[in-house]
Amino acid sequence: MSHLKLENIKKHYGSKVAVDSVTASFGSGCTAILGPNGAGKTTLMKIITHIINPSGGRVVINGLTLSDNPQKALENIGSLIEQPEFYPYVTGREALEFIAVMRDVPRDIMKEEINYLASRTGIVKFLDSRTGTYSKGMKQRLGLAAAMISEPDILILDEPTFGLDPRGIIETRDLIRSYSHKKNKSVILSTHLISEATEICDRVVILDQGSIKYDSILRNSTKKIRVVFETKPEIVPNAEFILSKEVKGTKTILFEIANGAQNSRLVDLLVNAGLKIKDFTESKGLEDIYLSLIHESS
Amino acid sequence: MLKIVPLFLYYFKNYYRSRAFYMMLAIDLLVSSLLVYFSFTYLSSIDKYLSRIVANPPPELIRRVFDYVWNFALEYLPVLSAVFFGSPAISSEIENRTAYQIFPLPVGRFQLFAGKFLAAYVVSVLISGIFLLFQWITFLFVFHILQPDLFYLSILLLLVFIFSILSVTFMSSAIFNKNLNAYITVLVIYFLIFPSASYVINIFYGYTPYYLLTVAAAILQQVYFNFSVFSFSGGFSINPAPVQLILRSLWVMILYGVISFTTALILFERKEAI
Repeated sequence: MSHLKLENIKKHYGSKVAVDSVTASFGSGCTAILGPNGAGKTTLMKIITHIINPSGGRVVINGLTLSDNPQKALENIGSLIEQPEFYPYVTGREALEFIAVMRDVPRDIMKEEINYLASRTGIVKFLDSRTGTYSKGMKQRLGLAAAMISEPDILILDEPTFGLDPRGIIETRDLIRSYSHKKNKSVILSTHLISEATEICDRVVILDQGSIKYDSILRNSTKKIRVVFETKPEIVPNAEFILSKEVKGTKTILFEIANGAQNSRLVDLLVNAGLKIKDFTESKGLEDIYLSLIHESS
Repeated sequence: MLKIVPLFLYYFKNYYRSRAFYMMLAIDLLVSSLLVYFSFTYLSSIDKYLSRIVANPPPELIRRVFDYVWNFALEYLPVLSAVFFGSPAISSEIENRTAYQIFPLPVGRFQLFAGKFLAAYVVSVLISGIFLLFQWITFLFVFHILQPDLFYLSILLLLVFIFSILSVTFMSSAIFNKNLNAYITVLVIYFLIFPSASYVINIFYGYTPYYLLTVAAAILQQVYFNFSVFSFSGGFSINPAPVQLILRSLWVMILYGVISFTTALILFERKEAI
C-alpha cells in the first residue's frame, strides 16, 4: 500500500520559517493541501520530491527515508511542481520517453503508455513538436503526463490545473480523480481553490504560515450544524440521521447529519427532548473552516 | 542501474539542436574558412618572414608555423564552446525551472551531472573536430603530406583542455542560479583575470605562472613552436615545446579539470531549486 509520512518537517530560509514542524501521513486516496499564497504548500511539495532538502525532520516514502535513499524512495513518486518547464529542443514525446527510461518503464510498453497518457492529457497533436514551442497550458498537460508515467504509487501535484482552459481543467480533474481511485494510489495535490479540493479529494489539509491548521476527511454526503443551547444540555438525543456529535464548549454542540436529512428534523428532535435552542447555524463546510482558520492566523 | 547513456543521449539531443550549437558552428566555420583562405593566400610568403628569424627555414619549420597559426585559433574554440554549453548547464536548471522535472527522478545526481557533462563534452569536441578536419585537409592540400605526429599530440592535449575548461564552466554554473552570472564569471576569469595576472607576474616577478589555465592551454600551440603570448619572460624558441613543458601543462589542465569537476559535482549534489 502506498504510504507517505512526513515527520516533523521544517524548512527555514535564514530567519524566515517556510515550513514549521509538519507531521502528517498520507495513504491511498486523494488529499488536497489548501492554503493561501506563501502558506508553504509548494515548499512542502518540493521537500517531498527531493527538489529541496528539509532543515529538519524526515520524509518516509513506502518505508524508505528519502534522505537516506533518495533514488529508491523516488521510484514511488511522480510529480508536477509549479508550472513545469522542459528542455526546449526536445519534443514532448522525447521528454516523456526520457522520463519513462529514467523510471525503468519496459521498452515494449513505453510507446503504448506514452500514447495513452498523451491522449488522456490532450497533447497527442503536439507530442512531436519541440517543447520550446508549447504554451503554458500545453506544458502543464505534458507535465501531468510526465508525472503519471510508470503509474507511481504517490502522485504529487502542485496546482495541476494552473494555466489550463476550462475544458482542460475539467479533463485534468477527471484524470486525477480516476487516478486516485485506483488501487493503492495516493494523490497529494496543492491548490488554493476550495472547489477543486472538494471536487477531487476525499481529505483536506489546510496549511498556513508553514504549519497544518486543519486535517480532515471530506464527507460530501454530510453537513455540519452548530447548535447553541440556552443552558448546558444534560442529555442529547440520538437519531439515525445524526452521524456524529462534537461538544464545543459548555453550551455548543456541532452535529454532523446526513445531507438528505432536513434541518427541521434535528430542531424537532432537540425541542422534543426539552432542550432550549439559542442559535442554530448550518456550516457552509470547508469554506467556513478555511476562512475562520486563515482569518484567525492573520 | 546506471542511466548515464540515456541521460547523455537526451542532453546531447538538446545541445545539438540548440541555438548555441548553431551559433558555435557558424563561428567554427567562419574561423576555419578564414584560416583556409589565409593558408592558401599567404603561406607562400611565410618563408620570407621566417627567413628574418632563421636563415633558409626548413620546410618542417614552415609546416609547424602553419599548425601553430591554426592552433592559435583552436585554443579559443573550446573556451567559447564551454561557455556556450557549460556555463548554463546547471544554473539554467534552476533559472528555467527544468530542475523540477529532473531532481525528482529516481536517478542519482551524479548520473544527471555526468550525463550532461558528457553531452557538453562531446558537443564541444564535435565543434573542435570540425575545425581540426579543416586544418587536416588544408594541410594536406598545401603540403601534399599528412600531418606530423605533433598534430595528434595537440589533439590529445586539446581533449584534456576541453575537459578542463568545461569543468571550470560547470563549476561556475553550479555556483550560480542565473545563467548570465555563470557566463560572465568564466569569460572574465579566462579572458581578463588570468591573462592580466600572467602579464603582471611575468613583468614584476620575472617568471611565467604555469599554474594558470590560460598559460597551460597555450601548450596547444607550443607543441609546434615554443612561443606563447603568456610567457615572454623566458624568451622563446622556434623548436617544439620540450616534453617537460608539455607534461607540466598537461598536469595543470588535468588538475583544473579534476578539481573543478569535483567541486561542481559536490555543489550540484547539494543544489536546491528554491
